[in-house]
Amino acid sequence: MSLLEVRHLRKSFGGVHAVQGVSLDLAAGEVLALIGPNGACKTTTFQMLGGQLRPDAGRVRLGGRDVTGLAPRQLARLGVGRTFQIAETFTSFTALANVQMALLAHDARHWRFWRRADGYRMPDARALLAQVGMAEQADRPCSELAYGDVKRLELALALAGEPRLLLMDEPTARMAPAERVALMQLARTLAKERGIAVLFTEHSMDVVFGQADRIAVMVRGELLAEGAPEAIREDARVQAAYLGVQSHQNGSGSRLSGKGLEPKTLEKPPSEAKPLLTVRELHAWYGAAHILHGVSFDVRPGEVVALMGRNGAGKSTTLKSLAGLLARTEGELRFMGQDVARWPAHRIARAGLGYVPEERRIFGDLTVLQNLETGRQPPRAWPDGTPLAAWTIERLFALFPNLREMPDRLGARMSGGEQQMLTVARTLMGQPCLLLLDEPSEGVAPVIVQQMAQAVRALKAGGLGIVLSEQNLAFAEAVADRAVVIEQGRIVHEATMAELAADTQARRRYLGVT
Amino acid sequence: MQILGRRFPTYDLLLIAVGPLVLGLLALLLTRTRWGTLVRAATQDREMLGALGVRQGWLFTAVFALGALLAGLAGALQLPREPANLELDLPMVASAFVIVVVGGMGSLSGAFIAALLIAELKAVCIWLGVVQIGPLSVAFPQLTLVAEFLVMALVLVWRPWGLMGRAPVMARGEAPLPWPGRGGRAATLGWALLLAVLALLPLMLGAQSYALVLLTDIAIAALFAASLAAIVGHGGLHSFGHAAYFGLGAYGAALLTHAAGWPFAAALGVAPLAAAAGALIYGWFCMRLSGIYLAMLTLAFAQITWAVAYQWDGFTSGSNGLTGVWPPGWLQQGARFYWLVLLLSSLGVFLLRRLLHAPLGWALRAARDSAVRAEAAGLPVRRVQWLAFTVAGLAAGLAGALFAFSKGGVAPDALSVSSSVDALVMVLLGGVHALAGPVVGAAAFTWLHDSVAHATDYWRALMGAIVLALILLFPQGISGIGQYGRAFAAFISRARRAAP
Repeated sequence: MSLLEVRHLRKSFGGVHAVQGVSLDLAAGEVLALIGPNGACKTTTFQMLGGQLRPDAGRVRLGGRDVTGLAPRQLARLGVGRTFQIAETFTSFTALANVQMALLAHDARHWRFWRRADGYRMPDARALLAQVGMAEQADRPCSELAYGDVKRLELALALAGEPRLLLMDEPTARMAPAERVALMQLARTLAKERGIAVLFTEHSMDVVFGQADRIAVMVRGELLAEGAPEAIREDARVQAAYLGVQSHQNGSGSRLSGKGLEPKTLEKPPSEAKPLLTVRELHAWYGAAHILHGVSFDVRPGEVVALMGRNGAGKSTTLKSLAGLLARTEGELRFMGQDVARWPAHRIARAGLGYVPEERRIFGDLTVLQNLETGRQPPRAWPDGTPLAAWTIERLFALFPNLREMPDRLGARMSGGEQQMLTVARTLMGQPCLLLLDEPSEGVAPVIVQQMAQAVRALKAGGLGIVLSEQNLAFAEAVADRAVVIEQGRIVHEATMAELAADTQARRRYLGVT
Repeated sequence: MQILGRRFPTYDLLLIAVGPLVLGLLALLLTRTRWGTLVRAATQDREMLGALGVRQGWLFTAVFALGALLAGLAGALQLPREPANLELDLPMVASAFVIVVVGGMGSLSGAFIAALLIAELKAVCIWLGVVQIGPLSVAFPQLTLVAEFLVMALVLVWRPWGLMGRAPVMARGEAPLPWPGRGGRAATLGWALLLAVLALLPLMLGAQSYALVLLTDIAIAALFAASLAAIVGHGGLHSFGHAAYFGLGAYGAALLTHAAGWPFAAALGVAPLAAAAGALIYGWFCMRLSGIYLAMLTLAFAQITWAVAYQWDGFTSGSNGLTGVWPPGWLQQGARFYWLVLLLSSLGVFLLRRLLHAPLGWALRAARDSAVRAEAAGLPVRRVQWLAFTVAGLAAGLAGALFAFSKGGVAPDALSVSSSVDALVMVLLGGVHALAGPVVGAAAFTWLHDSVAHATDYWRALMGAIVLALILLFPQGISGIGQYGRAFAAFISRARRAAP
């Protein structure tokens, strides 16, 4: 008998049918992946299973017991653990205290008001942290942990509740490729050992096809197909709706594939042009933590530089320093002949250096058009006087056709992939000469990754310089000219993208992929 | 001017027209212009807007200036109807807040409707006059003081985000500061030493010293501020009406002594329970909300409590307050009462601290950090917050009871908005990241208040300026000085290591 039975689950938001009759079964110890394009309502389904949303119709049974519409707290007591798309942890605690708090809650000891909490089940808490590979970071404050580590901590928090069912919403989002597989392998091992049923959503196809026992594909609120990984891979409907054509013939497993994204050769090497951006000896701090230790590189017009490296290496920090968003940086930043190192963020943006944040940061209360308006700046010219082709709403809609269909949709109502397009479009409204792109392929479906890659190439063809922070090697290979590998805030390797792609040793050493 | 056979002052008709006109213009400005779009974006994510090339400093200054302009306009329009006076400040601010919250944060039309609703309600109350309902005679005009807060309480319970408001899109806040944990042996020793010195002080200064009066005030304020800091700093429950529980404790003690004739010890023991009961009831409503809505609802309940104390002449002696509430004679000898206050206050702060380091305190902080994760881990978030709120009410009630006995009585002032604000200022002044903060803040505030009030006639202005300067100088609170010291030490050691 299956542990989790979901029958005809439905949910609509203000007349819009979101989830339209989803049925699933999950046995103890089984790992089921729920995949589908952005906007397929995977997260909505998850929230109904986790108790954050109440379904309009349908039944959810856990171990034979009807748990439809129960609150998260009640579900937790019945053995449902979960991780969130954006990790939710107790940020003011240390990693260890986070786990101790979860244990206290699980043991229902949270009403105690006399005995100190910091000694509670210390060995068990440390053991849980060790299980997710966080033993060494146990005593660090949660707010100082790299995001990948926060994700692992979150898994430990879920495990502290001794779950029978583990719900993981994009568990490996924003993690390095090697870490992704490792995390899900860990979850899989634990599931098999303890008979935990795992249901997860994921966009990383090597994780999905490598770690799931079964795969369910969701499109527009309905289940399109369900079955073993091999069957799903071959399913023509799934390929058309989600994976893109001729996907995954090679086992190396990239998140993107299909036509138009083969690594390409350059029309002309941009290396002789004068650099748009010169970075020399860049240091940066988060509070007291020294993150960047002297990073130097150049970006020329029409050149795409990919910053690569593991989680927490300092890629995002580099981009944020360039955009003027960090309180404390040192070093030289020359952008089109001006020293912008001490400039505030708005002045840097007005000089033509556009920043696209990893977390998208769409204004949820504004519509698509209004979001675009916030980024608008007057047309710009290159230093030699030739004008840049100005971005208009029309041109942006041509670049991202999905946005054309929803000009008046509120930002908060858009799916992750749509938001990703909007955040790039919004920055382009500032008519940048140079674009800082933080993880544009993160958390979006393969089809949209392909669109994003095409957009980056179009921008490059328009002469923009682009600095890309990227963990998805296939994406970087498809769009970048040069790779700069960062490790612990220092540049450890530089090569053209083609060289890195050919250099198995360097790839294994620096990126953890073969 | 004659309309339908009735006379209307022309000026009032002008006012009626000006309101919707300003509303319309403002709505156009905010929804139809680029500037308005930027303002709305800035309320969600200022930093991102800056990264898009918008100079947010100017933007916010402009919004502030526009707000000030409209407030000035309102004031000027009001002038022919009501002369300007110094007492306009707090009631007006409170009313404005109430209206914004009732209408729904961020909704202009909501605010307009709420303003109409509340103003009409007040007018109706005055028009009704004293009405006989069964055996009760209700003086409706007296209800005007409570009416707006009663409306707010009802609306927020029924529609948590106001009449026209939507559930807020989570604004990006700063990550909470890591918990400093326990202070270690040295800190414990330091506090013990301080207590010992304070306890021995009467023997050195003599029991009649003014310093003891001041120190009694400080000890009571410290307990009051610590009870507020516990829920504000650790629970993220921003209570703007904490004076309600202080006042309930004070009135409880006074009434039990006066009306019921209870002995001192019993009154002192039971009065805090009255405050806790108040916090339990108010908390049930308040814990359904968060952020500014929570702050406003706590304020509303405090205002209602204040209005009851102010207007129920028969029971609370109204604005005169209750007097003649003294501790028994044997306690008034020498410094005995001072010792009692010192003992109970430090015990109260110690117990609060103990609680915050215990699982319950952790649960409170966990709920603040991530309510979603706390629920998913099986924590009953609302009940934890509710309990903490009640405990804080209990501690504030104890402070209030001690206050009543130390002053020999209590007046409605103890329940007023300004009393709540004083507590918040003490907490801000001291810093919220450890319970030492409010204690230090309370001491600084009470001492400043005392010395500044004696020194000059302009003490309100001077006091405000000093508090503002201190907050700007120590954004983490005075007790945060330690953090600067640690950061400096870390910087020095890093510099040393970096040097060859």
